[in-house]
Amino acid sequence: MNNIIEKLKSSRLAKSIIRHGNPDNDLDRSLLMNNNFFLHLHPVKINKHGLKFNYTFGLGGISFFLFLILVITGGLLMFYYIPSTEKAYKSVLDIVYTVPYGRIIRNMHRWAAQGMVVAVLLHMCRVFFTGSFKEPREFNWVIGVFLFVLTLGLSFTGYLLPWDQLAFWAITVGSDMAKGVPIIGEEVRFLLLGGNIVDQNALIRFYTLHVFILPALAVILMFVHFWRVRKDGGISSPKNTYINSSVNTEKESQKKTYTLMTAPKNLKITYGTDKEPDELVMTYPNLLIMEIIAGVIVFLLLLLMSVYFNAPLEELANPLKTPNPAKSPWYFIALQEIVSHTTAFWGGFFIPAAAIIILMAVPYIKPDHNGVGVWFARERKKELIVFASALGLAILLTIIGQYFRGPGWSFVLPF
Amino acid sequence: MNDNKKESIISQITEKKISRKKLISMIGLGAFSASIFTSLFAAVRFLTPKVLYEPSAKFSAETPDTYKVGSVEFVSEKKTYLVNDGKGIYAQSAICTHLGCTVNWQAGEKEYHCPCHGSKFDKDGKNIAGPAPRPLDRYHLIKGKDGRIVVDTGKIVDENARLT
Amino acid sequence: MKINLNNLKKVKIESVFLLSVVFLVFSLIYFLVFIFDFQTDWANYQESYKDISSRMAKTDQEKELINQFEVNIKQIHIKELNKTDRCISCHVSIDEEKFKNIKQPLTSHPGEYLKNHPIEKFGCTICHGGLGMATTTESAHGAAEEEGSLYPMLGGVFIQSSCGKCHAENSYKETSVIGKGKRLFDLYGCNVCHKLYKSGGTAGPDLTKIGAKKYYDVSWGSEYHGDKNISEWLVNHFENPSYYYESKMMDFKMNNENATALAVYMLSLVPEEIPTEYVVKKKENISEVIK
Repeated sequence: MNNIIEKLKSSRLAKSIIRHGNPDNDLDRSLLMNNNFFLHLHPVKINKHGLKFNYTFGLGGISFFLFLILVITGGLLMFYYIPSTEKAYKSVLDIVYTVPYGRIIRNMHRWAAQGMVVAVLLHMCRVFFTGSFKEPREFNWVIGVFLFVLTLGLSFTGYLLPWDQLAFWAITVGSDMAKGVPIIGEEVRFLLLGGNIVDQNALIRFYTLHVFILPALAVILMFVHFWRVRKDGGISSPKNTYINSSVNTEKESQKKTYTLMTAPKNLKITYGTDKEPDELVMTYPNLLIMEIIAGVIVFLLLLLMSVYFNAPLEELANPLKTPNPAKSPWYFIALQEIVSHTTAFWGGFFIPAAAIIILMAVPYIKPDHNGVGVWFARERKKELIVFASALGLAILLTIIGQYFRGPGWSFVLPF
Repeated sequence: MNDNKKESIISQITEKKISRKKLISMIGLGAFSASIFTSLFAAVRFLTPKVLYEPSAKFSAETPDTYKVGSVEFVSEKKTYLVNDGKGIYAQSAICTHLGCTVNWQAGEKEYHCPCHGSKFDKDGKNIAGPAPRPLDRYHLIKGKDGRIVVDTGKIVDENARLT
Repeated sequence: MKINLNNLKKVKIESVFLLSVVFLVFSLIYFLVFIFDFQTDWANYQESYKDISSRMAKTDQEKELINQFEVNIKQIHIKELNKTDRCISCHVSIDEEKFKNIKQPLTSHPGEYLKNHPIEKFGCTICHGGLGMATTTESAHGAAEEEGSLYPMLGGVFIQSSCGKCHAENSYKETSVIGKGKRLFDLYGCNVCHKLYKSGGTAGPDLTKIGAKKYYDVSWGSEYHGDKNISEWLVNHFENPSYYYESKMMDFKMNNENATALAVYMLSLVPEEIPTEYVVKKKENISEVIK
């Protein structure tokens, strides 16, 4: 038995696929990470600080894992879903009631989508609260904000597809907020819906955005995001401080191009002299086993949830009958709440646009290196309070909009 | 001697540990492949619909007395000829056994002609010319609840089966 | 063979063990879902249908029909009505008279209704309501918690509201309640405040498509009044409009009977487009109209 396995492992075919040996020594472990296309996402060695679960809670990885689940379940659902106003709802009913495993796969897609919005949001909070967006990771934070917007966009476009009352009116309300864009508001909404009302054109537009354009953009940005995590020195940590040695590097590289090959060695990021350098450990098996366990547990929870809780599906969309109250998806409820108090300009354009721009500008507003790699660092008290109160306000508005709003958007108790 | 003993104990312990490690990793590998296999199975099952909107394989024709001796009636949407040859009624498939075109009944020559590649079948559905490899199929038919003939195009019977 | 003891960390073995357990749980879940797929209610009902009818079968022909019977989801797809009804997956013997005394869901349809309304042409939900595409009892009958208020089946006299979709005349003895409701509508002068088919007052809501109202549109605070679906809500509301704080309707002091009749009529005012070949213009000779 052992002989056969050994022979198989040393066969020409096996060697042509996997070039490294058993990963029981550091050389083969390095080769494993380096020679595998998928694992090459990670460096060979990572700093120990980034491995601490209660530092990152694996939120970025979980978001990516949920995205993978969404791609797979979404691809399966595409085999049955028909993006036509006449057949969409019926095809969803077919998926739920007659397709084997259909109900579970639809539930998984729904819950994973909601989970991804939450995971991305929490990941963003983690990065902010640990100051991980600071130099040299400013631009990666900007990409992260784009990815957050894309996640919301993906979830929002998917919301319309079942073509039930919930979907129809959530999208009607949601897309109406686009009218808040000054001057070209009507045109933006017209372009988004492919018409003046939510109808066949809107459905096929949202479908195309949902299954092709937004996922493609998200994948591209994700890989830039991950790549930059590596290039910016891995997971942030209080020990590796940032030292700008660019002057030296630039001069060197102007003279000899071959130094570009060794660039990572003397690139901008070097370990600080005033603090102890972080301890490096092998990625395999330390990080990999954590990632697999996290992924498997997330998948297990998702699977159990999908078996027991059904994704909402209301009656067929009826453009003539507005449910009272008509609510947008929960992640836009805060904006709807604002719109109900002010005008579409504030809730539909100004506040979301300002929030996104401010978020992107955050690392450039106050370029310091205070409290990087520490949760709730004391020296960052002010910025933390501002961020936390903005977040708290958004959560409060969401809860009010979701649970305390009845017919006519009047204030009601949730029971 | 003492040293040797020590070494052998160490090696025993390590041997044991290896086998335990191997066992657990074998279980892990087995469980992993089981879950991969079952999820692939689930995906294949997911892709097998339980309900079809295509017309059902069974259809109701008219009552048996509608089909007089010697008549060849074509049910075009079901691609079936209902024939009464005197011995009884049978349902003759109109699907050419070559590549699936619909054959036409030529009343003058008493033959079925395929328009695609020139296959010809005689009045019993036997292939007599062209590339068709075998005679036309005969479908199962019975008298239904309401007295009308029920033809099951999903069920092929031999050429002697008749509804009398 | 030299083995580095440092590689045999306990942590790693434990995590591999944990992983294998979880992977086995995955397989188990898939497997259980697969098994339960064959243990559905409709499959069990069809099995017992097969049993009962093979015991009932006398002639060879009948026996052969039963032997040919396959257990699967059965549906009636009616393009004209845009309906797909899978009710016959459980009520598989609905049009077989000999199942008259077998208990539900295998009981055949009572009365002579199916003679004039062949099931292949009408399906089920056009008259009975419910969610025809569902394959579980709760969802199909509208008894499920989350979907219950969306597609409730019409029970009792409320089913007469469906007759009104096609039959303009309501002088059959089976449709006395909806006929009464129509007369009451004129008697109470509902038209003064409510619009119906482009004529009438504007004080109250337009009633032209009122039958499409769902329970969740009106159910705020309904737990005090004991209604559980839109039919019951309509009756309660007609009897005591003042109980519903959001309602501005006048109290006509209707008794339960009149309120029910009016509610049945209201439920028949649906926006569904019934194809012209289904609509019965004259009361006489229905069999001629329905081919």
